[in-house]
Amino acid sequence: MKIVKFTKICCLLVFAIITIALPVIVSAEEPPRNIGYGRGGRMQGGAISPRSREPIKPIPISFDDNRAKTDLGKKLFFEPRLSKSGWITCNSCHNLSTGGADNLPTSIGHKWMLGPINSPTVLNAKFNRAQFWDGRAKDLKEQAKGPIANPMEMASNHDLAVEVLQSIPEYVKLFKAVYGEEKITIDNVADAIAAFEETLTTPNSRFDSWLNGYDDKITAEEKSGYELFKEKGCISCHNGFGVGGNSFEKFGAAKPYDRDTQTLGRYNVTKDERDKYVFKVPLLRNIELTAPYFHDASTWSLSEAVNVMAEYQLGMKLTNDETNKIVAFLKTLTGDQPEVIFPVLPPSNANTPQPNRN
Amino acid sequence: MKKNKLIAMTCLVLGILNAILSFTFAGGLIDMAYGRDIKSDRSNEPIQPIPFHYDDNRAKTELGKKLFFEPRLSKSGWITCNSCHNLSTGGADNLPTSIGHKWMLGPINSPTVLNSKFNLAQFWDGRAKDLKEQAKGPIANPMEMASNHDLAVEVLQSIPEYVQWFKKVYGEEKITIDNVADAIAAFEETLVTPNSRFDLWLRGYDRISEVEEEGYILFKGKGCIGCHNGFGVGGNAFRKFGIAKPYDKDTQTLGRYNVTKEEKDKYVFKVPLLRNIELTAPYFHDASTWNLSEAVNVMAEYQLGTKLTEDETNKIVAFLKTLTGDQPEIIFPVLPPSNASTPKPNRN
Ligand code: HEC
Ligand code: HEC
Ligand code: HEC
Ligand code: HEC
Repeated sequence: MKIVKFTKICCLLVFAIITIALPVIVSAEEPPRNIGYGRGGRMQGGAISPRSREPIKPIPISFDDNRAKTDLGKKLFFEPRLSKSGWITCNSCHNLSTGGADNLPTSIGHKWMLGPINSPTVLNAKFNRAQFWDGRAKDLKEQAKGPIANPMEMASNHDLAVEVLQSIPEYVKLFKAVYGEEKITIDNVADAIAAFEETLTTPNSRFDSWLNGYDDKITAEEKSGYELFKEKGCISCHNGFGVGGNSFEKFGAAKPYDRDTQTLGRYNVTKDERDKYVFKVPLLRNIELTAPYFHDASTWSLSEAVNVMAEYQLGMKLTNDETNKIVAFLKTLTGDQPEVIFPVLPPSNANTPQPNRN
Repeated sequence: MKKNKLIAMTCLVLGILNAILSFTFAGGLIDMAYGRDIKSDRSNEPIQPIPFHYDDNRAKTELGKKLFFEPRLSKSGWITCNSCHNLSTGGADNLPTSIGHKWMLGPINSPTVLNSKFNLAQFWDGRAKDLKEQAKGPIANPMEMASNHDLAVEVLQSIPEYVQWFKKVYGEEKITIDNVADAIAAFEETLVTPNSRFDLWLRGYDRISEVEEEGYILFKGKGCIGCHNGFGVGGNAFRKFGIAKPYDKDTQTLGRYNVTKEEKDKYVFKVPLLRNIELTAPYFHDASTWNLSEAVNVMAEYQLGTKLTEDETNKIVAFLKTLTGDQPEIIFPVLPPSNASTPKPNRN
């Protein structure tokens, strides 16, 4: 009797252990991804961390609260038929394999036209107060309409892009599911793309873990780099969730920037003399992944970029040691890259306008 | 006492079942299906279901995936294998001819990389004997990726993460173009599309409609199957385009002749795979039609010397659409950054 009871309990125990543990064991090979998903800062003790007052904030873990919409947005982000040629996607210039940018001096667009400016990353773009170097789009949704119709980028137009999507029954169904109507509009296209972009954040950088109270996540050298970043004054422009993106500032605040005097920046939007050479402060998250640097891609070297900043923005020269430390700190800002399952796109049919490579 | 024993036994059985189930779900249901239905009354059909692929060298295929999506293998730093063989759109670019470096338009339609391992040789004219040999081509083709093998290797060699991965897979830190091609080929071998409705039907499930089945019977009856058969529903032979009637829409592209220089190989091409064919318009090496029905009619006319009724064409097209299988689920790779010693991209 006793033995049987014992066996029974044992079996129950084994049963329970297997239920709980096995899936964990079996999937143990995979790297731990987004451990903090959905719990984020709280789990890591953000609110109670002694560093919660730091001028840089850890990237909050974002909830994908409308999966249907973000999935649709992902399809559109990778949709070559939004371009005239049927070949260029958002991802062509904001490659999610390579930090959300193309890592070229200026972008290659339709017919290999070379654009006027370096492509910024789409990662964490939601932390920008406005979009584009000159902030001419107020948010991601407004931004997303631009490249589709830009003759040097995707070179389509809004009517054509919508016509293409509208001709594909799977898209009609997906838009219907998200927006409640079968008629596709460019506004909804942009809205879905923006929703997908909102998911493109890079939490869990080593620096964020440190901010959340994990002392040993950054080295002493990296930490002194951060101290320098604050002391020297970089932090006044590069701060917040994105370590940038919160303000427009003149490039050449301390000393006129002379390598590119053609690009007028914010002035193009406001026509205010004071806004000449004023640009949105770029995000420094994942900065090691997205050389070349600056709107004019004037350098491929992060150390040089840091020195240029010290000279032109702060009017000072850094020692080699200081530069190295700041660079070491900047490299701790690389977070988990979004895990994107490559979308499968529905085929065109006889009603779909054909691509035009010319 | 008896009751307790029963409960104990039940627990044990449940536990074991549970273990098996957990393993199955974690490892993918595929394994469960595999081996279960290989014997069906349709196992003698001239088309075989795509076998499930076991990824037996994950480190190598992962490396190959990175390389497949690696823009720095091109001169411009912008073009990848995926640019012309987009895994979002059936493994092809779905353009008449490909766009390459500096927007040069290529001479021929890009075939899909999906299931390309079932090809007896690679390229329309079969000039590469296998995927590995093929993969070296586009990197150095001035109209495609426009790099060269030395440069491509130099780029990879400059990136410590790549050095580490190559070391892990090939045992040495020195990266070679052979190993680059080998890894890409290994990744391509995983790009199969099992579980099409037609394959399920072949395995004994009633997954195709009557019309689709009639289409298949026509496909056999009319003689399409003579060329399009096997795992890939094609890929097993070189055949003349225009056997029954000279194909006149493109007489410039000589096909297999370019490889063998034999007169009889003029206008001979590798029979293309018809798997996922609905995803990869336009059709034919010269992309002469965007319409699958028209492609079927052209085949009937030029390869078989017959004319199909509209009803026959529709049925064959319906059958062809059952050949679309599960598209590979690819987690977009994250690529390691360049550094000061990495050669810079050149857009010119
Ligand atoms: C041909 C290359 C190209 C394509 C295609 C392209 N972009 Fe861009 N993108 C750029 C460039 C260059 C800029 C910077 C332009 C400027 O600031 O004037 C930019 C800016 C952006 C920004 C602003 C980021 C910031 O920090 O200000 C976002 C967001 C963005 N693009 C998203 C998209 C989306 C979504 C698509 C697809 C609908 C897309 N891009 C297609 C090149 C491209
Ligand atoms: C007065 C505001 C300001 C200060 C102070 C400042 N920056 Fe910047 N930073 C900018 C602006 C604006 C840009 C964009 C310049 C451009 O390309 O037009 C920029 C660009 C950068 C870039 C290149 C980003 C990219 O994606 O191309 C880096 C790196 C950078 N800053 C680091 C620093 C460091 C390190 C410091 C301190 C030594 C610093 N910044 C101080 C405003 C500032
Ligand atoms: C610029 C567009 C372009 C790029 C980039 C490109 N390909 Fe291709 N690929 C083509 C075209 C066009 C063909 C057909 C050429 C021919 O048959 O003469 C082809 C043929 C193939 C084939 C043969 C398929 C068959 O059915 O015969 C394979 C496999 C392949 N490419 C793989 C790759 C790989 C791997 C890469 C990257 C290293 C790559 N391609 C890069 C356009 C491209
Ligand atoms: C004698 C051999 C042969 C026969 C019979 C044949 N085909 Fe083909 N098929 C080919 C060859 C070779 C090509 C490639 C032609 C080219 O583009 O150069 C091809 C191409 C195709 C394509 C276009 C594939 C692509 O990716 O572009 C389709 C669709 C097709 N065949 C369907 C059929 C159908 C349906 C039949 C029966 C009515 C048929 N074929 C009969 C040899 C054959």
